[in-house]
Amino acid sequence: MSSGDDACETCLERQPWTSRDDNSVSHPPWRVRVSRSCNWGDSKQPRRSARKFRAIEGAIERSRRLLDLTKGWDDESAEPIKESTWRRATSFLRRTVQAVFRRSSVVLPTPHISPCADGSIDLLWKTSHFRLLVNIQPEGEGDSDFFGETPNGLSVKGTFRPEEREFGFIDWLAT
Amino acid sequence: MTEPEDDWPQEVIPNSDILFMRVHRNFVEDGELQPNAFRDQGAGMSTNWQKYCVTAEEARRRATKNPQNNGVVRLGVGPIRNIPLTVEHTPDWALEDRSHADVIGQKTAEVRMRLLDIAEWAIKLDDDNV
Repeated sequence: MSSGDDACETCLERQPWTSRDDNSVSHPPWRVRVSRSCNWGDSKQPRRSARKFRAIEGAIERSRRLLDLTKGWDDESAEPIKESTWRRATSFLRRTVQAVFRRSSVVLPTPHISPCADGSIDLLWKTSHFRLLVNIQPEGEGDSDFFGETPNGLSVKGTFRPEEREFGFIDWLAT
Repeated sequence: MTEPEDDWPQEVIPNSDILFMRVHRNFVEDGELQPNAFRDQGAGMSTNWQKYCVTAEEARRRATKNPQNNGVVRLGVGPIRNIPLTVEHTPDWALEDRSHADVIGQKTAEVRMRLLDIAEWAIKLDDDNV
């Protein structure tokens, strides 16, 4: 598999390389080059495992379109999505995917990443095994919340702060 | 002189009735309704009571901007109340909309998933050339 000369081999995002001498990182025996700004860098797993998350990383990249939405994007009064909210949501998504993988070796499917009229962001997983909706609010504007359930009636819900909550526990939903 | 409030008294909406709700295209992905479609605007989630807005097309035409950018879903009043949420007839005299009804109650992730479960397309965006 080729990740391209200018792409991080962990997250496969194209981003400027820092020089080998002072910033680039090598991980024998994988010898994977990882950009210092790589968002997957805090994984406890071998960095190569992040390749399993390419689909999710692609969805995150595509979700940048949310930042182009202007006030009234629903032809009514919808708020734009702040970059800080997008970063909050995508950071939460990455940490959740990693946490579930650490706990159960399950790679979560790719969620829908959708804008909400109040400036928050929804992450929605819908599969035949489970569904989970996580709403990420802009920083300082109310609680983020979530609701998940399985077809056999197990469910989980609550409010949380995306920076503080470890969502690895949802592995039972996905397995 | 007769006040509009006298002409359009607030009525109790029966559980067996239907509400229409416009859904902007930005709340639809791959033709699929998303839970972000269910949100409050003011006192509650704005809908149109079928008693005074007989067709889904009429509900779509009531969009203040770009009706063609909207699909329409239908929601049963009884199932909404079972979520549980409150359904109130709230005629909008300013917009001359006797059919206006609010769905009141916090739109948590769980509530929005329940609303997604009971919503049915009346006019699907995919059906149009939008």
